Amino acid sequence: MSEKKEVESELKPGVSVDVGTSFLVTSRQKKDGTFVNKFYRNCLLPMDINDESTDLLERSNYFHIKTKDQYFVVGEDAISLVSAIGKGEVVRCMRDGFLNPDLSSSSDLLFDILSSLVGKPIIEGENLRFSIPASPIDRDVDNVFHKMVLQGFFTKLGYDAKPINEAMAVGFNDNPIMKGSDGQEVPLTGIAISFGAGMQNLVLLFRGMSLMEFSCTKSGDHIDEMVSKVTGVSKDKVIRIKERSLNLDKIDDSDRVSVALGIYYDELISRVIHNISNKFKEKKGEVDGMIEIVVAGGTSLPLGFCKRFEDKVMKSDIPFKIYRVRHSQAPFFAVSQGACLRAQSDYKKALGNRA
Amino acid sequence: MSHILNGKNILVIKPEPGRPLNPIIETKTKTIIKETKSEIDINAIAQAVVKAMGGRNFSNNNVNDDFTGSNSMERMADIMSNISNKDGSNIDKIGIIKETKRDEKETNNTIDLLSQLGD
Repeated sequence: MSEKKEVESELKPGVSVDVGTSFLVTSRQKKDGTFVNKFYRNCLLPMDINDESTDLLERSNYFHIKTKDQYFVVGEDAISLVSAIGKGEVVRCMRDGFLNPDLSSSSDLLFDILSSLVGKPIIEGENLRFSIPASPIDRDVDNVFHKMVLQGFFTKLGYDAKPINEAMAVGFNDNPIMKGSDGQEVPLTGIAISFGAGMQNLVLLFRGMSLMEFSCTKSGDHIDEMVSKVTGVSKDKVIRIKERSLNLDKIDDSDRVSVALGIYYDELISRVIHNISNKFKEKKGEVDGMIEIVVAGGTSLPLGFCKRFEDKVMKSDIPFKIYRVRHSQAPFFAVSQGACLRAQSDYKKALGNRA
Repeated sequence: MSHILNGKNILVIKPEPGRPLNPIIETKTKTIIKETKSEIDINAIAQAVVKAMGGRNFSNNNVNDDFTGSNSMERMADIMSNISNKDGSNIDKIGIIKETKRDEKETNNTIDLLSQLGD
């Protein structure tokens, strides 16, 4: 048996794709429970087709896509190349959680990258779940078209594809608990939040069902942009500091980038809590117990994020009791892993229907 | 009530007390609408919509749609989700793999719970 076939035989049917603004992640699960996550940065560096660029790409190992009139260097290689040549700007196939309308052929390029990442179905009509954001409350756009385009694409690859709300997927991966007034623990009940690069997505779950869901723009990318503006430091450098050394528990007061990051993280957390409170009050709902909040996503990765969120949420006017705030056990892969569990449940259901 | 004012047919609405008379003048609006309708460039609309929704050239895709039905968006999404083959690309092996250990029993329980839910 070839190595690839051997690996495939260890995997359970049911695959997922987290179509994020900043990263694309796919997940499958092995029979022993281990998740196999594959990810890549979702960005591109456009280059004109000429002798110089053709020569550069032929001599290097940079991953790239060739279209009719341009090269696009893909992912980490795009960022490395910009740093190396000191010019050019990376572009994204996605913006604020949706296909980027400013980039011509954004869907075309995104699909090239996605089809390489996810590969072919391991069984005929394999179940696939892809993440979509909830419609945002602060932007006049909905997710209908975005969902249709992605569903069409994965179906054409041979999958039985369905969308899944990004925050629901976090909930399925991390299983928030409600402690009922009678002392019983209710599974898959609580709040799940995904802090992505383009958006925050949030859901209030009750026994695995969504009671309330929404998204807001101005997330991680917005923080990078604002910090870069107020400090005059390039966005690339701000991202490096944020991803490598930021500790929200111990902000270095002598470093203006860290101070500014701390301020904008505070603003983001306060805004999310304010939105949860308002939306829940609009619903006029009641929660019979104390609920847990689980947080995930790339923007939640800096040390101290969860504690800062918990401090603020406990002092807020949210109209229900919070038991605790918990960081996902795999913050970066939570959306994709949760969606993978959902895809496997689809497969199980389909098997049951056939029997 | 209808009157003739300066050679034009006008409709007079009884004003509210204290408000000036504001006559509504009947114009040739209907004719203008007809002329405008005949000038609609469906392909131009298609291009504009596509550009706004993620940009892709539809010129070779024979967009035959008057954008009056509810299936227009579905058709457009279908065209946009086509998979293309690009010679000269080298992204077959992209992706960084990272495994995360999870308790098999725990995830199986979640799958059981989820398989009882609707879509």
